[in-house]
Amino acid sequence: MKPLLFPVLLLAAGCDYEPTWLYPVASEQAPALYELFSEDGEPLVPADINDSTDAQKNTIYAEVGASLNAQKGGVTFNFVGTGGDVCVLVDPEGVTWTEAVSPRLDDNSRPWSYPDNLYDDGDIDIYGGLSVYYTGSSDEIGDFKVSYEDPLGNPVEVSLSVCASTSLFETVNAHAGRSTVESCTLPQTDLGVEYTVVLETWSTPLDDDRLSFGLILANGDCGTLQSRLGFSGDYHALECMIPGEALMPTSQGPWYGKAAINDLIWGAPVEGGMGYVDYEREFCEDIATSRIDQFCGDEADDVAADLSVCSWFRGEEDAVHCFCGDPAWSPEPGAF
Amino acid sequence: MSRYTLIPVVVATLAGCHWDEGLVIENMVGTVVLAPEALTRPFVSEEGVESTITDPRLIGPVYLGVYSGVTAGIEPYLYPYVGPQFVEGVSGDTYPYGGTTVGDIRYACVEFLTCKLTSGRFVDFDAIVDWFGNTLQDPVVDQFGNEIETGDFLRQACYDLLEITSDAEVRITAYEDRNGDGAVDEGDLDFVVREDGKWEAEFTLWQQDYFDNSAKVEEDDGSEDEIHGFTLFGWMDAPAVGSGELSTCNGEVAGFNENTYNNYFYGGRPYLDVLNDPGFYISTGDWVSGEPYQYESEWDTPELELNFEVTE
Repeated sequence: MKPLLFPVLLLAAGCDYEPTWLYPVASEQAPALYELFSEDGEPLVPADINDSTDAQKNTIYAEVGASLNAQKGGVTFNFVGTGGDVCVLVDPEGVTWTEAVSPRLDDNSRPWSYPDNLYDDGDIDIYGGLSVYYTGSSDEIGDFKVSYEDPLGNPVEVSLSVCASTSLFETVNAHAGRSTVESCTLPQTDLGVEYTVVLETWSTPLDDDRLSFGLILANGDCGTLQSRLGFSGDYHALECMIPGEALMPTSQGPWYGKAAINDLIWGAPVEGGMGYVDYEREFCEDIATSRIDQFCGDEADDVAADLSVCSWFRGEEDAVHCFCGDPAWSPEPGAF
Repeated sequence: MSRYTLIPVVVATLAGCHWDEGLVIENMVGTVVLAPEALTRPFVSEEGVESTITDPRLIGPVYLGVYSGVTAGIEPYLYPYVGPQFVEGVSGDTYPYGGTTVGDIRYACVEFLTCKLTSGRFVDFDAIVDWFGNTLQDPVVDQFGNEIETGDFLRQACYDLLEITSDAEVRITAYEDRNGDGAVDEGDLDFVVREDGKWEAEFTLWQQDYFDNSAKVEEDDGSEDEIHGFTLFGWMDAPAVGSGELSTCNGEVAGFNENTYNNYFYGGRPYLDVLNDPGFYISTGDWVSGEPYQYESEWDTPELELNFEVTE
């Protein structure tokens, strides 16, 4: 029987494999799951936003860390229904685009000839509904699903999230994707009834496993809000509705209003350097001939002249990361 | 490693290949039947002559769904069970287990035909031009408003816009010899006439998960006789009188977007919830299954007759 023990032991050892090394390192400053409150510790209150000054004053900035296990993480907050539509709008850290590797002849042509730096982007998905349906707790993120047993006796899972998010391409019930503004309108909220919104962390930036974001909670529907602030039409421009959301890691926040984070924005303290706000601005502005390429080209020139200007990859803790990608990452024609 | 060790290891490994996940997934087939009345309508010719026409081009897309069951009292016909209503003014969902169609709404290559064409109903492109021009008295026009007088023009429009080279890729007309009689003709459409005068089409619920109530019966200490599967319910979305438009088609901002020079339109596609909320789309003139079919096993081959005309 002794020879049998060897393969059995090998098989059994395979069952005791713990892939914990794949998970990120815990960050005390940016927990993976927490609840957001207003400055006075109360549930958030939807703001009346009529112009960009109102928007910047009422934007809440914060950071969330990566989940340390297989459970999802994120940030939740509550608000009390107003009797009308309420808009939730989130801009997760970073700017992203798909590099154009082939010329296009149609009107949608964009240069995008530089690669994006994919190490500094994160993604947040929004869900929301009546708090009474929310299944989460302080230890575990939840959802708004209830189970209904059909006449055959089989369970049917029903999502009661009333937060209908829309993708960049106006597909309803879709999420916006990597480091892209996502919004949803909770329609005709019940007056005086509590609602919960879940900002679920879909991914955190690879460079530091901490995702900063900006949040607007406003009265009215999101489409009207975006139009009122001049951000309808070009979906790239939405990136500038919440400027400066890429924060240097200091704490989880939250910070109330843009004025509170001006000194925390990536690149801001570097004298003479190009900051995240400049980067965002060029991404948003409708410069059909140079969009983001001017910024990325200048950055590539600076790095070529001095390698210490910024790092393409996950660098030292206090290293400045490049906003654009390394031009060498561009695929060769015909390559996968 | 001796053979005494190797053999049990190999046997144990191979045994793992026969893991039963308890999933019943099959291509479930059957037939849909329509009485001639469902594809018969009075028409007036250009000369003012009245006549009654029975033609498969009057058959719109047929939607088939499998549901947990059907009940009376929701609609004038047996209708799928509806789940709980969570929002005031919005009806509950029927939560179908799956479904399919016989014929589907196709991209029709000119804006005029958006939401008016069902696949498997027209023998060729001439039949489309003829149907709208001579029978409906509403000729097909191109993006400039000029009448399209030949099927070849329409076919070429499809080939150009879709960048394709065969009727099989357009998939509106009959394009293959399904009945093996050596010709591609009306016998190769979805619905063909039977000896008893009814029109019949085959359907397949592709890779359908089969569900029954066995767990519930066991829990309730019921007998095996009480076990049954889900129920097949279906209806035919009849083309609107006059225009030929299909009420299940969303032609506003949906489907293939044609965007070349001065030719800008959406090709249309079915609404996404036609199976979840069929009652919203079933309207006067449509034909519904009067006796939905309750499955006994995944091997059943039902014949579902759409024999109830909706009149209100």
